Amino acid sequence: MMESLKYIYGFIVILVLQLLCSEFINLWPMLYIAVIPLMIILLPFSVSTYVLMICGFAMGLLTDALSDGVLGLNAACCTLLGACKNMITKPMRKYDVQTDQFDMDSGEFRKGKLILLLIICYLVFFIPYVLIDGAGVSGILYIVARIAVNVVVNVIIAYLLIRLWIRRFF
Amino acid sequence: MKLPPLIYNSIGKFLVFALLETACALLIIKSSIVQKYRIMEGVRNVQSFFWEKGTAVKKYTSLSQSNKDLEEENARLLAQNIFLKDYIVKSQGESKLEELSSQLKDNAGDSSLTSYSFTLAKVIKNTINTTHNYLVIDKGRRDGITEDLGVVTPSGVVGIIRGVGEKFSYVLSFLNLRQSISAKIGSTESPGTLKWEGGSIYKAYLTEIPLNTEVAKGDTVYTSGNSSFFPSDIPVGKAISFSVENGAHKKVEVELLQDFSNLDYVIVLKNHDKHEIDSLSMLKPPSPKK
Repeated sequence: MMESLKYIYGFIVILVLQLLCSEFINLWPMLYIAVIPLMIILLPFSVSTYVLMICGFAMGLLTDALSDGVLGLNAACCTLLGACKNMITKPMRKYDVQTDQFDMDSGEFRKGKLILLLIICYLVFFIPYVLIDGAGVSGILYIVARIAVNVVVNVIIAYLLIRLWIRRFF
Repeated sequence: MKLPPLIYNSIGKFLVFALLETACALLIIKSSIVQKYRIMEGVRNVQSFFWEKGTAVKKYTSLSQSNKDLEEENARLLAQNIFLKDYIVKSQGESKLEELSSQLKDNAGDSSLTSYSFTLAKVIKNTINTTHNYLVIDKGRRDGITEDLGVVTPSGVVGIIRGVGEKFSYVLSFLNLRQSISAKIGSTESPGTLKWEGGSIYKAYLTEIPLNTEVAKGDTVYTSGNSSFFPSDIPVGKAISFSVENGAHKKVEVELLQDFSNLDYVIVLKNHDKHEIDSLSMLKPPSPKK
């Protein structure tokens, strides 16, 4: 019960954080600070793909509805991330942990593995995001550059958030 | 057949994923014009891809009908082609006949050909390597051909028809030891007998020329017109040399104008007066009064 509440609370915090970022942090038109993928990444391995997809869809839709963007864009990308998350983490999980429980605070998930996981997850999130947002109007170089910039910046932010704040919170 | 649970699970995940993504796509289409345009473009591409494949499958399944239609079309075109070819051959034949008959008239003169009608025929077979040569032409009874008609070209005599079939006729070639025609040399009116004696297909001999007849090298040899087969004055050859035979008459060596090795078309001459001439020739002289 406490475990569930913890995640619901984290869910709300991340959603608020995302809305604040969307509303107030506009550093560069190319850049989009995406915090919600973190919630899907941080959900335990035991959560099934069905739940991950529905959670991603719900969170993305809420973000789209409450922020000033294309309705359904975040929902589509988060659903995709939810569908792929278990596939991405499965090889890492097998190698690093014996149990099916993923705890960021246990220290079993080392720095390198965490960054790799974040990079792959953000790539999965940002490739469709940039393609749909640009709607095929932009050139290939612009698309690649935008994906790269967003992945790099968001991975750094996500890593810092995990290490400095979320680790303590969870 | 029972599917393993893993496959059920995968299908279920895919269906939920597709459902959620479709919902997202619908929301995106509804909220943004640019994305709507792009997504609809993609949908149309997918649609046209399936339409194209569907049409290809439909076409494939209806191949037997298409084949049948093509066969019918092919048969129709083939029939049309045969008709047109026939038409072209007939047209060419008519123009060829006109060309050859005008040449013949130029060479022989109009007056000698007044009682003759012409039929153009194509040479189907032509032998020149034996002593009894013959030709087969593509005109027969149905074209009005009968036996004993002369066959010529503007360059000379070819032969006489000796056998007639429904569609083809047999021509006894001039290059035949059994064949001879009545001919004269130069402007004289003394007829002789022109005969091929074997050997070269370009040489023949004009015999029984009276001794008093002037013969010079290069004189043209013409048909005499003394038979009902050929009109008079058709040039046949040129005198090369002559000799006196048995002290009684001259024998002239003639170079034939007609090249028998290169015969494509010939003219069959029908003499409309032949029947009358032949019947008069059969008359017996009146018996002397006692």
